Amino acid sequence: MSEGPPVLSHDQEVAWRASASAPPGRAPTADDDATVIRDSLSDPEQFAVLVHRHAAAITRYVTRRLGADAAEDVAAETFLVAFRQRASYTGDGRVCLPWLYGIATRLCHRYWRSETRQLRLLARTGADPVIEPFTDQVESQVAASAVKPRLADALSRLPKAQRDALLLQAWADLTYDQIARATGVRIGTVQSRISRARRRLREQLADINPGRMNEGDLR
Amino acid sequence: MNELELVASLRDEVPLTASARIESAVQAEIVASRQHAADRGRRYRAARPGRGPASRQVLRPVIAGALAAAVGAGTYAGIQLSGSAGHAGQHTVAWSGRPTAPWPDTAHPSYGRATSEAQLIAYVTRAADAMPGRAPRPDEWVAVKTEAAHSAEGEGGYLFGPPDKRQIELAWIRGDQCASASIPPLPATTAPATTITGTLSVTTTGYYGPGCQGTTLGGWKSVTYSYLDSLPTDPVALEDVLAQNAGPDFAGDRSVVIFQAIDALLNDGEMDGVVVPTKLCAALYRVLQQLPGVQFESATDLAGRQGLGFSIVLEGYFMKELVIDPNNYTFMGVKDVAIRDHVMSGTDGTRYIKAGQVLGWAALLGQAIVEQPGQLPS
Repeated sequence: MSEGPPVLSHDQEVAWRASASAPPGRAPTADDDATVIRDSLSDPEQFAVLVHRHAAAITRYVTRRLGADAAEDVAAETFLVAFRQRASYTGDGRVCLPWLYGIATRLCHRYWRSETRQLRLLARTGADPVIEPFTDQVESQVAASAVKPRLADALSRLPKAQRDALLLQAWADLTYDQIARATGVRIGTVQSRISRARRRLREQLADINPGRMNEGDLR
Repeated sequence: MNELELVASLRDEVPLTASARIESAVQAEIVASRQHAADRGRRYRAARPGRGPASRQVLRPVIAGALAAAVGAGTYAGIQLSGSAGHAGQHTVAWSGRPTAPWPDTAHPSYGRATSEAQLIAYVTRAADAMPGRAPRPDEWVAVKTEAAHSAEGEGGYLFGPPDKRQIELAWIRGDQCASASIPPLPATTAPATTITGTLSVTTTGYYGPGCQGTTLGGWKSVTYSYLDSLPTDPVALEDVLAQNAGPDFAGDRSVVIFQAIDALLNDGEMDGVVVPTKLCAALYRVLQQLPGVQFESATDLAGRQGLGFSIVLEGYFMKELVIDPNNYTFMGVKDVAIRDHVMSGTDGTRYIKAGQVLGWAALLGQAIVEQPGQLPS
C-alpha cells in the first residue's frame, strides 16, 4: 500500500487562499446573490429578489424535514432571519443558498421532536405523513417498501449534528465546505459527522440485498 | 444505490414550490424596517438639533479593521474584511502565519520518555501534580492543530483506499465553546517554513449561535473543563462514569463501551477544542491499563511520531489505537486498522476490506490556549 502523500507544487499548496470566494477568474456580476445582498443594505426591497430565487428550494428542504404544516413558517422565518443578518453575510458570491440552508437547519431544531416523531411513524407504519399531502393515501401506503421504514428508523436515531450534516449533503446538495460554513463548524467536523452517519446507515441497512434494490424501492 | 443516494431519494415527492406568503412576510419586514429606520432618524434629529441628518449606518461590507497587533512571534495578523458589530454571524479576517510550523510545548512538563504503561502513568501523575492545567476563560480560545488522512478512492464511514492524502487543519474554539474559527485545510506536505496568507472564518452562528449549549460529544452530558475536572480519579469509579457517558452508539462488551467513551473524549473531544485536565488523563490511562482486552505497545501517529498505543479490537475485524505522546504524556492521535479480511455489505454493494488496510488515521499536532482566534502559541 502506498502511503506517501503526493508531492504538490507551492502554488497548489497555497491554493486554499481563494477557497471562500467566488470561483477564480470570475468577477462578481449584478445577478450574484452577494451583489443583491450588498445592494439590499441600501435598498432593502432588493432582498425580495433572493426570496423569489430561493424560497422554493428552502421550502422543499424544510418540508422534507418537518412536513408541510411547519414548513411555511420555518421557510418564511429563514428569510426574515437572513434579512436581519444580511449585513454579516460573507459567503460565496454567486449563490447564498448554503447560508440560507444553515439558517433553516438551525430553525428546524425547534421542531426536532416533531421531526423525529414523524420519522419513527414512518419506520413503524410505513406511512409517511410528510409526503401524504403530495400523494394520494393509497399511493403513500403502497410506497412503503422495506427500505423506506428502515431508512427512516436509521435517520431518527442519528444525533442532531450528524442528521443535519447528512441531510444538508443529501437534500441540499451542499459540499463539505458549504456545510461547514452553514452549520458553523470545521470542515473536519463535517467530514467526521457525515462519515459516522453514513457508517451507521450502512450498518443498519447492511442486510438489505443491494441486488434487489432500485429506485422503485423507495417509492 | 449507496446509503447517501437512498437518503437523497427519500421524500423526493415533495415538490419544488413555495408559498406566496413567504414573499409577503419578507416584504412586510422590509417595510417595517424602513419605518423603524425613519423613526430612529427622526428621534435622533430631534434630540440633536442643528447637527444635520444622522449619518446613515453603513452596512456595506468594508474593510473595517486595521492590522491587529501582532501576537506571539509575529505569526498572526487579523484584518476584519467584513461583518458588522452587533450582528451575530460569520465574518472573515485576513490571516497570515506558518500553519505547519511546530508549536512550542510549554504547558506539559516532561520527566523523561515513558516506555511502559507504569512509567507513563507515573510520569503523567507527576505532571498533573506539578502543572495541573487550567480551564480556558470564556473569552480565550483553544487553538487546535490536527492532521487527518483521506483517500483518493473515497470515504464512507472509513477510507475506501490507501491514505494517500493528508491535510492539516487549524481551528480555534472559544473558551465558552460557543464560537469557532478556522482556516481552510491545506496539504500536510506544506513546508514548516512556508508562510501562508489567507482568510480566517470566525463563526458565532449555527451550533455556536444564540442558545449555544457548548460542545456536545457522544453521550457525555458535559465536556466543560469544570465538569471533567470534577470526575473521580479512582479507576473503578471513573469506569462507571465512562460506561454511563458512552451514549447509545456504543453497546456491547463493557470494555469496548469504556474504551469508546475514552476515544470520544480524547479523540473527538480534544480535536474539537475540549481541554481535558491532566489529572483526568492520568486516570483515563489507569483505566486503559487495567481494561480487559486493551493492548499496550509502541505506535506511530499519522505525522510519523513515535508514541505509546492503547488498542482494542472492535467489531471483530479492526483495531482502534489511541496514541499517547511518550514525552509529554498527552493524546496525539488515533488509527483504525483492519486486523483481518472483512466483507462489509452495504446498500451500495459489497466492499472487501483487507487485513492491514488503514480505515482511519488522524493526529492531534497541538492544542493550546490563546487570546484570540487566529493566534498561534509562541
